[in-house]
This record gives sequence, structure tokens and C-alpha cells, in this order.
Amino acid sequence: MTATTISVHNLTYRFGKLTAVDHINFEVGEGEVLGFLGPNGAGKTTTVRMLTGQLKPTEGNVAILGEDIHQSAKKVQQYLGVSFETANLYEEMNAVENLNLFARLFKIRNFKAMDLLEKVGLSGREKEKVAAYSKGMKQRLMLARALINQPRILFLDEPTDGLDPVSSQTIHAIIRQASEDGTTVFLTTHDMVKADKLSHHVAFINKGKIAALDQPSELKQHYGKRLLKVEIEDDSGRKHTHSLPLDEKDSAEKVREAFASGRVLTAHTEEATLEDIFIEITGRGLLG
Amino acid sequence: MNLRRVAILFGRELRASAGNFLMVFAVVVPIVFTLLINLVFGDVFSGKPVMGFYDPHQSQFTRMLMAQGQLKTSSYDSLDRMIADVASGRLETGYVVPEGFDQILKEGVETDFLVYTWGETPLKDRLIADSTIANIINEIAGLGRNVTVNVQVLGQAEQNSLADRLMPMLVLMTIMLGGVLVPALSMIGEKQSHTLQALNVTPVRLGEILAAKTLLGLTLGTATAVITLYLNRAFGSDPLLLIFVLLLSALTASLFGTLLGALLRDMNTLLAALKAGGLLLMAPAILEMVPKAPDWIARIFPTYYILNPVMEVAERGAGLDAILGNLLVLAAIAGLLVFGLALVIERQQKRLALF
Repeated sequence: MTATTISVHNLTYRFGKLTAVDHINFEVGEGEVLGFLGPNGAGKTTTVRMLTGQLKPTEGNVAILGEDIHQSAKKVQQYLGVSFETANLYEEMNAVENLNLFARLFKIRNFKAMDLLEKVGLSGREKEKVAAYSKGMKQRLMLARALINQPRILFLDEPTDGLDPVSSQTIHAIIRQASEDGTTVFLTTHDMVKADKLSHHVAFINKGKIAALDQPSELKQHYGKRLLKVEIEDDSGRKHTHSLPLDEKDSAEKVREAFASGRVLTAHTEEATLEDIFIEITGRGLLG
Repeated sequence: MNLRRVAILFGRELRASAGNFLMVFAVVVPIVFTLLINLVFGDVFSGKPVMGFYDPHQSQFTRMLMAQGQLKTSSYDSLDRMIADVASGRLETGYVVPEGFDQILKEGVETDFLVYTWGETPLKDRLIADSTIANIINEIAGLGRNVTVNVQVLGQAEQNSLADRLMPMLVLMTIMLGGVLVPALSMIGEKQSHTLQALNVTPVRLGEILAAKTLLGLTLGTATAVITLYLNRAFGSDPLLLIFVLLLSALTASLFGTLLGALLRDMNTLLAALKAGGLLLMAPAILEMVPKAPDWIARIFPTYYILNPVMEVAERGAGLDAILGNLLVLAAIAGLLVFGLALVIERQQKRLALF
């Protein structure tokens, strides 16, 4: 059993009459990647702000590395790395200057900005002003900035949103490496496929409440339906596609009927995605 | 508060200011205004009368006058150019020294002495110039110095030139642009680019960020005010006291700017607030341009206590005793602004107030 690094108890935040986060509870262990999934407005960002000490909860408490974040925010923040969804770099400075500034604020000795820039694939562009960077480059630089203090917990808010596949792969590799090195990763996203690949556990947040929290495989087993997709050509040459559930009582009979109804062109099984499960649990899509 | 982090943030602020158009505008504009006014009205802000001599024969009289400490003098080799400079106000008086003037004085012969005077020359400057000339004439004539003029200004001066009356406006504008606008712009710029949010998840405290912004306004406000006063040669008789007064004035302005930046959400709101409130901020300087405006009206406005001590020391040569009351009011205003910033910090600690 790994040590708990994030412990959340009855965490609640209200904006006036609106309850943005509603009595949520969870724990995250050392080196674990938790995918925190939900549609826009579900309460993800508000939760991250409370966990990182930017926002004081209306109710409940958050213990980060055993300390109450709101009692000892500045002490705890020494060990946190945060990458935001919206780019918030000093655009009049170049990448090295941005990293050096934060390294000095964290009081990191012998900091080598180029090593980090190489890690996130920005070496060679380090002397350009950040204002000239693309969205993907800014995203990678923010990730590098979040890694400056070798954080024990890394909060990543939509780290690959809008990035090209190569940039996304770079960031995925860094997340995996960080996790292997014992860093807890709190990954906020509405991209279920990426969360599925990266996360040890996923939490679905909907309307401020946690609707489900488990390992992706467990959630699929518990909520997901396996399907057999068969494409068949009938005697008149028309093509039909059948989606046949595999976990129902008459599944075998239906598969036999489908295969007998014409010439089978293709057949493959399909596993439920996290998005399917989210819709099943919450009754709403991720973009809604 | 960690001073090392304040210094790091301040260094970044200074660097960012150098590349920011609005910041450069705030610092450069007062200096450009000073140069423009000097170009238009001549060197009128000088505390000393500005005199010119057309003396192709290089008399002892001219040499002695040019060696005087209480006058600023220029020698001309073209009479037309000297007359043109008097007409435009670059010279307050222009003297045409007759040939053999030294000998004429020594012999006590009667002679004409042509003097051109600019129409807006202050009366006290004419008096200083005339008495200085009388002394030199007496000395060359072997009569010795016999006139010492002590000018005591009583009541409100009514004969100030337009340029003299613009001086308080220039000084207040300098302190306000550097002190108020620069930290307010910096604070709001960080809010709009969300960089404050990035700092907020590091060990940096909000108080350290606000201190760096205030330090920026203090530095730029003081530096531009010193440059402006230097260009106008209005440094008074006690430069150390003047620097102290400028520091306190710029600090108060900067605290106000930082508070404004902490409270307002975006650039448009800031510019609207400055447009709406600009007249109130500049009111004491505007009132200084109205010679008969009673002093008590200007005293209603807090910026009077920023402007008055600076002008008293820089232009009127006042000492600490004369400005102590107003300095104490200024210190109290600065204290209130610090309290305001402390409330902002407390509010931010309770909830997410700034971002």
C-alpha cells in the first residue's frame, strides 16, 4: 500500500447559491495517476484550485502530504507542480528566463533550464520570446515549469488539450515517468481516451459530485458492455452493420442469426469506453 | 515577507517595464513634456534669472557678471540672435554692452545702456538682475558693492509666467504616471495574463508580489521626478531633503497605484477610472495655475500633500520645518493605503479575491 499524498474529506465549494463542488471524498496514493474526469462546469477546476491552495473550501478539508493545505499553503506549495489549462507564462521573456525566474522563486540551486526544455522537446527554441510560441509549445513550457521543483504532486489541467499527436506523446511519456519516479499525478481532463491510457484510477465528477471512482478496468467491468460488431452483405448486395451485446442471455443466439443472414464482411469485438460508462452513470456526455 | 523573493520579482518588473509601451509612455511623457515646455518657453524654470550679453569687445563688466553665482548667463556674438532669444523667452534679459564700457564707468561719463527684457520675466528676477548689474557697475567705477537684494515673497505670486505655473502640473504628472500608473498597469497585466495564478501556487506570497509592484512605482516615480526637476534646474537648496520628499511622495503614489491594480479587474476599468478620477488627482496642480485660487481648496485633495512638499522644497527652497505638517499628512495617507493593501491580502487569503 502506497502512502496517501492527497486526502479529501467532504470538500465543498459554493459560489453564492450555486454548489460547484458538493461534499466530495477521495484519496490518492504516492506515484498514482488519478484521472479527474468530467464535462465543462462539472467542478474540476474549482476542485484543483482548492487542492492547490488557491481557493478556500466552503466546507470540508484537504490534506496534502499530511498537511492541511489551507493552514500551510505556502509550505505545501514547495512540493507541488501545477500546469494550468490557460497559458500563463511571462510572454515577454523567453523559455529559459521563464524557467529561471520560477527556479529562483523556489530557491532551486544549480538549476539547469536546458535539461527540462530538452525533456519537453523545446530545446532549440529556448531563446525565442514565449509570445511567439504556439499553443502546444506553451503547454509544454508550462509542464516544464511545473517540474522545476521536482514536485511530489503534479496537478495537470488539460495538459494535452489541442496538441498535435507528437506533443501529446511527449507529455504522456513525462507523466508516466513522473509516476514511476513516485510523483502523484492529478490529471484533470475531459479526454477519456487519454485518461484511460494514463490513469491508475479515474474519478467521474458531475454537477459537483463524484459519480464514480475506480480503476478504469474495474469501471469497464462493472458498467461497460462488450459488443460484437458484424458487417454483413445480404443476397441483394446491400451491407448491414449489427452491434450485438455479448453479455446478455440470448447473445449466442443473436450472433448465430446475424452470421446466418448473409455474407460476413467484417466482425470485431468492442469494449466499452470510459465515455460510454460516464454517459451510463451520469446520463450526460462529456461535452454537455 | 521574504525580501529575496521581492527582489527577484522587482527585477522581473523592471525588465518587463522596459519593454512595455504603456510603461515607457508613463515614464517618458513627463520628460518629453519638460523638454517641450523648455523649448517653447525657454529655460524659465531655472531659479536664476537668465541673462544674455552682446559684448563683442569682451569687457571686464561682462566677465564679472558671467562669474556671478546668482545669474545664469550666455554670451552672444550676434545681436539679432540675442534679441530673438529674448523675444521667445529663452532669455529673460539681453544686454548690449557699449564699446569701452569699463573705461566709461571708471571715468564717470554718462552713457546709454540698452537692455531687452522678455515680457513675462518675473519681477523678482528683474530685481535680482538689476541689483547685480548695479553692484558690478559700482565695483568697476571704484564705488564698491553697496546693494544687497533680499527677496521675500509675500502672499500668492501673481506675476508667475505660464511656464512657472505649468511646473506643478509637470511634477505631479511625473509622480502620478510613474507612481500610480506603472504599478497599476503591471498588476492588472498580470491578472489578465493569469501569471498571478502561476505565482500563487509557488511559495511566493501575495504581499511579496504587491511589495514588488510598489517598489517599481516608487523607483520609477522617484527617478522620473528627479530627472524632471533636474532638467528644470529646480532642486532647491537642500537636495537631500528634496530626495526624501520625492521618495515619500512617490511611495504614496505607488501604494495607491498598487491598490488600484489589486482592486480593479481589467485594463479598461483602470483606464476608465483614471479618466474619471484624473481631474481629482491633478486638481492641486490645476489650482496652482489659477493665481487667486485659495490654498484651502487645494488642501482638500490628497494629492496636494504629494505635490506641495516637493514644490516647496524644489522651487521655493523651503526647509523641513516649513513642510513638516504636510509631510505628516502625506505619511498618514501612505499609512492608510498600506492598511488598504493589508485588507486586500486578508481578503485574498479568505477566498480567491484577485484572480
